[in-house]
Amino acid sequence: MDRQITVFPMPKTGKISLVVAPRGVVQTLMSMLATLAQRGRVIVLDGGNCFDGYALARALRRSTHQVQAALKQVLLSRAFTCYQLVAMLAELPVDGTPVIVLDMLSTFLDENVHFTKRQRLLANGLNLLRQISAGAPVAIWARTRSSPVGDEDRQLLIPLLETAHDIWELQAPHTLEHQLPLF
Amino acid sequence: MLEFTGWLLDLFEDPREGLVLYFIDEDGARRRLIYPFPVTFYALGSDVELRALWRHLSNRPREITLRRTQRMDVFKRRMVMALAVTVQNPYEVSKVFRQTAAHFPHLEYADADLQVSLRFAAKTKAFPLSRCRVVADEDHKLETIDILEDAWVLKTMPIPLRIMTLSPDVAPHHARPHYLKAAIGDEEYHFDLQTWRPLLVNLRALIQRYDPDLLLTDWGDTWLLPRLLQQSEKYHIPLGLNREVGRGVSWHEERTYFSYGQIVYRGQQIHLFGRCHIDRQNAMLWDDYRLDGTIEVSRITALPLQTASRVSPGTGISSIEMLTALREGILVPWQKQQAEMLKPAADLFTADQGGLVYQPHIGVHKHVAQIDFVSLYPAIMVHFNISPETILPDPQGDNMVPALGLAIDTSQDGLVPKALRPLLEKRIAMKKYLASKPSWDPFRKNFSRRASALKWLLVTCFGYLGYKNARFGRIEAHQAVTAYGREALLRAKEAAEDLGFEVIQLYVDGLWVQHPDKTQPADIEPLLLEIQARTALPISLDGIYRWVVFVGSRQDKNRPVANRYFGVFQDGSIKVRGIDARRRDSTPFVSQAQMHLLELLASKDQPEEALPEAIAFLQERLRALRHRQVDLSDLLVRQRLGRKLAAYRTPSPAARAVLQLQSVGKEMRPGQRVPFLYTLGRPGVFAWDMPQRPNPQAVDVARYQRLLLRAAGIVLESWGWDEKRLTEKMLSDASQLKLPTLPKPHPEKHGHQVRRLTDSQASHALSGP
Repeated sequence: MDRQITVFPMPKTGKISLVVAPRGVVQTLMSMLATLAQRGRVIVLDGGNCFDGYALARALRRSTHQVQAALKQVLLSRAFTCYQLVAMLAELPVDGTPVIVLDMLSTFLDENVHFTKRQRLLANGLNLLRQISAGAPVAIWARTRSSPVGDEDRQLLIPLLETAHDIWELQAPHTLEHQLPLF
Repeated sequence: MLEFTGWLLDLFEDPREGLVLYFIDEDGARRRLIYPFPVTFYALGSDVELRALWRHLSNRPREITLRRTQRMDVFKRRMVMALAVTVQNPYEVSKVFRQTAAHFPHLEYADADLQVSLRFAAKTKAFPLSRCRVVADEDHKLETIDILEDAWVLKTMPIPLRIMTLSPDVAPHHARPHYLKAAIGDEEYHFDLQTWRPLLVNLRALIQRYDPDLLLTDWGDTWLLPRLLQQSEKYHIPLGLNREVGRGVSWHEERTYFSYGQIVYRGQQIHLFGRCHIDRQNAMLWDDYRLDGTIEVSRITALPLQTASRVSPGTGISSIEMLTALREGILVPWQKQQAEMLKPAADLFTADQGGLVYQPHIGVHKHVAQIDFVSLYPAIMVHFNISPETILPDPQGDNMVPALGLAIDTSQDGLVPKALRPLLEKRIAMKKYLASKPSWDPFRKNFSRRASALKWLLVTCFGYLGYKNARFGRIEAHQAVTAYGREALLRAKEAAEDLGFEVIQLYVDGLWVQHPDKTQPADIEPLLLEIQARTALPISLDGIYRWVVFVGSRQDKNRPVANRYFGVFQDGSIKVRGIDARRRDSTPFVSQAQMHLLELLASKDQPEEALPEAIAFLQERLRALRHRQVDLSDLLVRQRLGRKLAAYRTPSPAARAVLQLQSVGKEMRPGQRVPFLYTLGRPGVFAWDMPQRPNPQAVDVARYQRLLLRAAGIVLESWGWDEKRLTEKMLSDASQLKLPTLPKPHPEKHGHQVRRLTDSQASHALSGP
C-alpha cells in the first residue's frame, strides 16, 4: 500500500478530508503526520489502537534530525469506546491545531452498545468535527475490513462520507495468486 | 416479632414486595423475608436538561421521588450537581432507567445498572452468604440485619447448605445420556432419561423432601434444566426448581466476548429464585477453586452465589469497586466517558511498556532461588495509591511515577486502593496461614481454594484498570502500575547483585537468582529483607530449585524465551511453565508423558541418572501408541474455535472439526473448545462429539509420535537428547539395535543374543549423550 500511495494532500482548514482504506494505509498516514509535525502541533485521536510510533519516528528521521522535538509536537489520545471518542472530540482545544482521527469507526462497531445509540453518538462526533474543522484542518481515516461486521460497517460509513469534503478511497493491491513462470 | 441468626442465601427484586430475601436459619429452618427497598440512580447534565428530566418524571409521584443533590465524581475530582431519581420498588428501576435514558440520551447517568445485592450490601453491610443476626416483624418484613462475620475474616462458620447434585451419565454434547443421577449427601438416585413422567414425579418428590439450597448440576445451564423445564411443561408436572412460589426461572443468554486477546464463550445460564443453581460445567474456574472458592467470591463481591459462580474475576473486581463507591457516596458511571489524556507521542514509548523481562540463560542451573513479589500489581496499586482519580497530569511534588510525566495524589486514599486493600491483606494472611500449616491441617483445602479465588481477583484487578469498559479504569493508572513494577524489579535486581547473587531471569514480578554459597532458604532471607527495604513491597521466596531448566524458543532453540521453564524444588515438587505439561491444548498422552519424564528426572540425585529409564519409558509409550493401546480420549486435542467458521480462509484443525459437527447438526460458537483427534487423510481430524465412534486405525500415529518426541525433547534436551536425536534413535532404525559393546557373536548365536536383550538393556544401549 505505502509503495503505491505515498502522499495525501495536506488537510485544510474549513474542510474535512476522509481516507477510506484498509489497515495498510497506516504507514502512509504516519508519513503525512510526520510532515504536519514538522510544521507545528498536531492532535491525533486514535480510535483503533493503531497509532504506529515507530513508523512515525522512521518517517521523521527521513526528513529531520530533530525527531524527539517533532514527536513532542504530536499529541495523542486513544479511545477504546465510542463514548470516549465523542468525549475526546468534545474536549479538544479549538486553537487551529490540525486534528487527525485514526480508524474512527472501530469503536462504533462495539456490539455491547445498541446500534441506534452508536449511530447517534457518531452523529454527535461528526457534528463536533464539523465545528472543529471550521478553525482547523481535520482528516479522518475510516478503516475498511476484509471481513466486515455485518452491514454495520457500511451503515456507519455513510454519515462519514456525507460529512467529508474530500474523500480518498483506497483498496488493497491485488496479490498474485501464484508465482508467474519466468519464461 | 421474628429473631434469628443465619446466613443470607439469596435476594432478588419482586414486583409486589420490593426485595425478597431468603435465609438459612441456624436452627435449620429456611426463612423468606421481604424488605421495602427504594433505590436511586442519578442523572447528570446542565440545569436546563435536568429540569426537563424533572418535569418528565414528576408526574409519577407514587413510583418515583426526585431531588437535586450533590455527589462525588471521581473523574472530575469534585462534587457535581445531580438529579437523584429514587424508584420505590427496585423491581422497576431498570425499566424506569431505560425509559429515561431513551428520552434523554444526552444526559450522563450514574448508579443506574447496579446489582440489587450491591445496593443492599452498601446500605446494610449484609452480603450474600454472610452470617447475620436478623429481626423481622410479624409480616416477615425485615427490620434490622447485623452481620456477625464480615467478608474479610479468615475462619468462617461453615454454612449448613443442603446440596443436591444432578448430572447426566455422559456429557450431552458428546453422546446421548441415558440416565440422570441425583445425589443428596450419601443418597444417590438414578432416573431413566427415556421415561420422563416418572423422572419428573420422582425428582419433584426429592426436591420437595430435601428442599435443597443449592442445585449443583453438570450441564444444567445448557442441557439439563432446559430439558427438565420443557418436559415439565409438556407433562404438566411442575418441578419446583424455584423455592420462591410463582416465579419462573431466569434465563441469561449465551455470549461470546474477547478477554486478554482471547475469544471466550459462556453458555446460557439458568438462575433460580430462593434456591441457587450452579452448573459446574459452566461455572467460572470451578476446577480451580470449587464451591469453597465460589462462596468466597460471592461474599467478597457481594454478588449472589449463582451469579458469582458464573462471572469473570474482572466482573468480581468491578463489583468490589462499585460496592466501595456506593459506600463512599461516589457516583458509579453508567458509561465511562473519561478518555486518555492528550500526551506527546514521544511519551508513548516510555509509558506503554508493560512488565520488565530479563531473558533467562538457557540450560540447566542448580540451586536457583525463585523470589516473587506478593501480588505485585495490586500491592503497587495499594501502596502507591494508584487509582483513576489520583493520577495528576502535571508533574508536582515527590510522588512522581518513575519515568512517566505523571504524579500521584497521596492526600487521600483512592477508590481502587481502598477497594483492594482488604482483599490483598486477606490473600497475604491466607498465604501465610497455608505456609505455616502442615499438609493435614483441616482448613488447608478450604483455605487453599479460597486463596485461589482471591488470587484470580487480584490477578485481574490490574488488567481491569486498563479495560475499556471498566467503570473505574484509566489508561494512565494502568501505565503507572507497570512503571512502578519495572522500577521495583530493577531495584530487586540491584539488591540481588549487591549481595553477590547472579540474576538468571527476571519476569515481571519475579526473579531467579543464584549464589554458590547460598543454597538454603535461610540464606535468602537477607536478600528478601533488602528488596523489601528498597521497594516497600512484600516479597517472598517461592522456593529453591535443586535444578531448573530454561528452554529456548521452538523456532530457534538458542533464543531464550521468557517464562518457559521447568525445575525441581528442594522438597521434590516440580514446577513447569510454558511447556506441553502445562498447556491446555496439549493431548493428555503428551502432557502426561512429559510430566512423567520430569518426575523421573526429579527422582534422582543427578537427573542424568534417569536417562535410561526415561528413554525406555518413551519407547514403551511409542510402542503403545503404534499398537493402538493408548486410550483414544488421551489423544484428544482441545482447541478453541477462534472465530466464526465463515471467517476462516484456511480452516484450522478446530474449525475442520466444527465443520464435521455442523454436518450432523451440532453447532459450536467462537470461544468454545473443540475436542478432536488427528486422523489420517482428509480432513485430518475427527471431532470427538460426532455421533459415530472414531476408528482407532485412522488415528494419525505419526503426528502423535512427533508431538510426543517434541515434548520429550524439550525436557531431555539439556541432557543431550533433543527432539532430533530422539527421533533418529526411536523412529528410524532405532529398533534395529546396534550392539557395539557386546562381544562379536557367532553367526548362529547372533539372533539368540538379540532376542535375549531386555528392555532395560536396550534402553542402556540407547542412552548416553
